[in-house]
This record gives sequence, structure tokens and C-alpha cells, in this order.
Amino acid sequence: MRTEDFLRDITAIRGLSGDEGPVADFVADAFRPYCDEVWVDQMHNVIARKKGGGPKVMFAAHLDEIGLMVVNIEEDGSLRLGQVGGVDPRILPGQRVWVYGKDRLLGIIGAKAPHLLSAEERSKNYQREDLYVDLGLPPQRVREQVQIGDQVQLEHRYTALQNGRVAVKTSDDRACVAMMFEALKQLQNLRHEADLYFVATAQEEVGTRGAITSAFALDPDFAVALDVCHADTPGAPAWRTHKLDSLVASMGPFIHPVLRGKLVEVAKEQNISLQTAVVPRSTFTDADGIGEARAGVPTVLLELPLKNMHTTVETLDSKNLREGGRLLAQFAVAVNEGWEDELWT
Amino acid sequence: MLRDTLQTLLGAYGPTGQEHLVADKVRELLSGHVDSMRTDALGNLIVEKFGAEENAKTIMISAHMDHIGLVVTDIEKEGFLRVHAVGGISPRLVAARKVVFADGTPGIVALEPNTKGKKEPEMSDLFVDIGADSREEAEKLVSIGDVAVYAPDFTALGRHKVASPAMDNRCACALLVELLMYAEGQKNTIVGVFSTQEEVGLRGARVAAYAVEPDIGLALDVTAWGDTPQTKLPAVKLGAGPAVKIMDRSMIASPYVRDKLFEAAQAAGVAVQREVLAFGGTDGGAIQLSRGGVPTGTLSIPCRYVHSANEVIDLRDMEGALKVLLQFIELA
Repeated sequence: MRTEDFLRDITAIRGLSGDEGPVADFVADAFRPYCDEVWVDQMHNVIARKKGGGPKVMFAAHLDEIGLMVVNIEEDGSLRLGQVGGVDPRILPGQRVWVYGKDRLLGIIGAKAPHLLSAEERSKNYQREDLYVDLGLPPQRVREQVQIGDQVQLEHRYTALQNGRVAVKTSDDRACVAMMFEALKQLQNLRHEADLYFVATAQEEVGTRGAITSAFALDPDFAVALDVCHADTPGAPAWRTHKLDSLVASMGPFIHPVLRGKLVEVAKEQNISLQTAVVPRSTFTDADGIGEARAGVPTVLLELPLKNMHTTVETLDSKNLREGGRLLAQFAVAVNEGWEDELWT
Repeated sequence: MLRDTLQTLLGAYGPTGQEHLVADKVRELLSGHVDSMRTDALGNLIVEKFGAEENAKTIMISAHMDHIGLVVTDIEKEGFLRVHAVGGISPRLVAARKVVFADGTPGIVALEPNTKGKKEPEMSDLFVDIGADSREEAEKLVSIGDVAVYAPDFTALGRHKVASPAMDNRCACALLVELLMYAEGQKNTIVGVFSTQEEVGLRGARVAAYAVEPDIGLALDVTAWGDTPQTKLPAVKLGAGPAVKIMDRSMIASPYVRDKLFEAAQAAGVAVQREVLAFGGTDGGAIQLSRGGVPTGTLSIPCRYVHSANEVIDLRDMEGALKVLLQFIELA
């Protein structure tokens, strides 16, 4: 499968945080031909192992997606919404959504029309509490179909823009799962000493939870967390954003400096462009959960810049994504037994 | 009886970090009913009741014993106590309430005059009046670091409801005690954890889960209410049955455990509600992330006015929850 097709397909599959079963199965099936063993654990983490006799390396990109949840059903059958992960309410009015009740039902997110808003309401953004899903069904039928706690997924539309740019929901962080897929394909023709674990983690969006448990279970020697960061966008603070077409190696107290140096070295040797981001505190990525597992795991964070994060048009550069896969594969090749002694000297 | 057990446990002094008197009551109640009881380094009381089957699963069921309170940080020269919150106790709700220290010393929480036009009082606007006329006199009764909790005050409301401080979470402790008493020859092993320090970050349950290494986790706790005039969420009512948690801030319930709870409720013929809470957390959040991960859920007792001195529950929800739990330990 082409990596672009993998990205197109994986972003369509349901996998809201906490209930990632369907997307986990998809990833397990896609990774299996390129690995020695693949399993899905009780948290819905997908763990794909490519065996080696050297140090144990964990790569992690999360497969869960943000979404909405039914928290109440109004008398007229409108569904009120809570969130699973950080959904920006400003993008919701006008969205099409899938409601996973007894059947999968298409709905739309509606809001009070601008004509009906008070002057005060008009000056503010819509809040999630003001919005609702309309299924078009009479209230009784809604109640037969839908219950409190049912999941609501934003509709998937894959848009190939010019110049290799792609806009699609859930690029955060399935673009990085695609990066691991690309790395696995490239590793078929490479020799590696390290014992490699590619982990598609669950529940990152609600607190890097899958990374916490999978890192405990695997007990790796080193880890590379993969996530998205903000690409340059008009009006955004420049120090928070990065060029769309180059990978980012973050640095900060949660990132192991020597291991990061190793990653930068590999990128240089391979002529892969890398930018630097400074993350002064918690990274709010799987790197946090993995780094603190057991007695601590030296961890680095590689990031893929993305425009419009947490919207349905998360935009990335597909060439950059493939370069990320190449960097991961080459990093995996470079890891050797001697690294453990070098990390703090 | 559930109501008596509840009343016994509500009367025990047990702020976060000093839960041993509650644990003592639980030990007394469970004496002769379980296979083992032990207390760990954080004060968790861990109680085992072995399953009948050889391939029995270990189900950890946790109910926290600790109760929010006020810790003394300073004593004014006039004899008044300055305090800080232990857990999520709000200045607005604790003002003008009666509190009590470990040795029974009572105090009244008073609010300074609102001279700064604040909308909400802060902890620094409160002091506790224990009737002392000077610092010296106060120091004979209370020391810095002592913790006061809402004074016990059990009130029956209407036919089925009761109000009391510490209903969060002694009602769940009572439920767990009753479950361990009534379970007889059950399939799975139950490890009941009467946990400590939930109110300051699920600390007791976190270490207990690490030690117990359960196959399945379940937390018992109160949840918020949506059945008073201007409160609509969570869509949970008192008296409409216990609530199966879908998610809160600490946990998205594992689908397996959540669905087993629904199945157990159906088998028990008990109506249950579905709870989506936008805030808060329970011991379940800590159990789920223990070691390599534990499939975990939460069964909740709907409770009005949580963290006030009058936390109200409906005893019918408690009775329903006990029936659901007795089925759950067979089905899980």
C-alpha cells in the first residue's frame, strides 16, 4: 500500500479516544506484513515488533482521534454534545457527523441562526453547549437509536491539494502512524541491530494514557515519540510555528539531549531537513508518558508540522511525511549496543 | 443493613491522609466475612475474598475512604485558625459550617467581611473559630497541621433520600462493605480496596492497583447530578438507579467493563443511568493506567451538592448498585 493511501484510509476509520478498536485492527493488519509479530493490547495500543538482538527501541504515534459524545437528548430529539479530547467548537457549526447509535447515522451540527442571536451572542463564538446534532428523525426514533455516551465522529473528507499537500481530519496523529508505516516498508531492505517496537498508541488526546501503559509493558531502552506540531499560519506567533515542509526535532527538559543529538546526526548524514522547536515544559505528547515509565526512558520527540490542528482540514506536506519515515528507518538502523554508555557522557 | 453500615461509616473522622479511623470501622464490619485484610504503606485497607473457580479473575473494587477537609496553617493572636484546603473544598460552601478535628474539638468556619468586592471568597478570607480567646489557648486544642472536616450530620430527607457530609465517598465504602459481606461462593476473586488520598489525585488507588495487579478494575464513587432546576448535566437523576460511567476527566471506561456493568444491571433487573461527566475523576483513572493497563470502569451513586456539608443521595440507588455489583462479580 502506498503511504498516501494508508493515510487516506486510516483517517476515515473510527477510533475516538477510549474506543480505538476499529482503527487498531486496521493498523495491525497494515503493519503485519512488515513485522515479526503484531498485537493489540487491552488499551487498544497496537504493538508491532521487528526483532533484533540489540537495544529495545520504542517508536510511538497515537492512533486515537478527537471527537464528540452525546451527553443529553433534548425533547425535540436534538443531541447535545460533550467532547472527547479538545474539539474546537468554532469549527463545528455546519459540519457533517456520524453518530454511532444502534446504527451509524449521518447528522449535521446546527446552531441558532445569526438572525436569531442577540447582539451579545453575536459578538461571541459559538460554544459547544449552544450546538446540537440534528439527525432529522422524530424524537421517539432518536431515543430508540441513540443513547447518552454514544460517539459522534466528524466526517472524513480527504483533500489532495496542489504541491503534495494534503488536508484531512485526524492527521493528528495518524500522519505519524503513516510515518511509522513508511519506515517499516523502508526497513524491509535494511539491516538493523536494534529490537524495534512500533507502537500506535491509544488515548493520547485525553492524557497520553496508552503511551503510559505500553511503555511500562515494553520497558524500552530508548524511545522516539512522534506527533504533530503547528506549521506557519498567517497571524500565528512565529516562535510557536514551523515550516510546513521540514520535520522538527524538539528540545527541552522532557527530551533527552544526547539521544536527540543522535537523531540530528542521522538526519544530517541522510540529508534530511530538520528544524528545532523549544518545548520549555511538558510536551503534551506521548514523550511525556514514555519518558516517565518505570525507572525512566531516554526519549526524543520528532514532530510533523501541520496547519489547522484539531480541525477537519489538518494540512500537511506528504513529501515531508515520507522523509519522516526515512529518518525513522535510518535512525532504527543506526541504533547500536554502544548507545547506552554514551547517553550521559 | 446498608443504611446502618452507611451511617456507621459516615460518622468516622477521616480526612485525606488520615483515613485510619474509617479503616478501623471497615475492619470491624468485615471481621469474619472475608479471607484476608491488610493495610499498605499509604493506609489503603486491602481486603480479599477468594473466588470459587480455579481460573477466577481478580477484580479490584475500590472505594475511597478519605474526606475533604481544612488544614490549619496558622493561628492568629486572637485565637482564630487560618486554614488551607485539603482536596476540593470550596470557600463558598464551607463558610458558616461546623467542622470538627480528630479529637472532637469543634469549630465554626467564618468569613471575613467582603471588603474587596470579590465575587467568590478565597481560602484566605476564611478563619475557624474554636472559641479560644488567644493563640495560647487555641494551641492547647489545635496545632498547625491538624485537619478539620465537616462535622457529622446525618439527615433523612423524604422517604428515600439522606443528606450528610462525607457521602463522597463513604456511601461507596458502605456499598463495598455490603458487597464483601453478601458475596458468597462467587466465581471471581474480589479484592476490595478501601483507598486513601483520592481527593488529592487518586494516590491510594494508584499504589494499591500496582500491588494488587488486578485483571479487572472497578471504582465505586459518587457522581454529580443533573436534576435540580438549573442543572441539566450530567443527565443523571437521583432515584433513577446507579450510573455506569462512560467517561470523565480521569478515565474513559474500558468498553469491556462498561458493557459488563450494563449486562449485570439487566441480569439484576435494575435500571441504570449512563453518565458522561465533563469534570472530575475517580480511582478508576488510576487503576486503568496501572502497569501495562487494566480494563476498568466505574459504577456511580448520583449525589447532589457534592463536596458540600449536605451531600444528598437516594438509598434506592444504593440498593440497586449492590444488586448490580453482585451480578457483576459473576459475569466479569
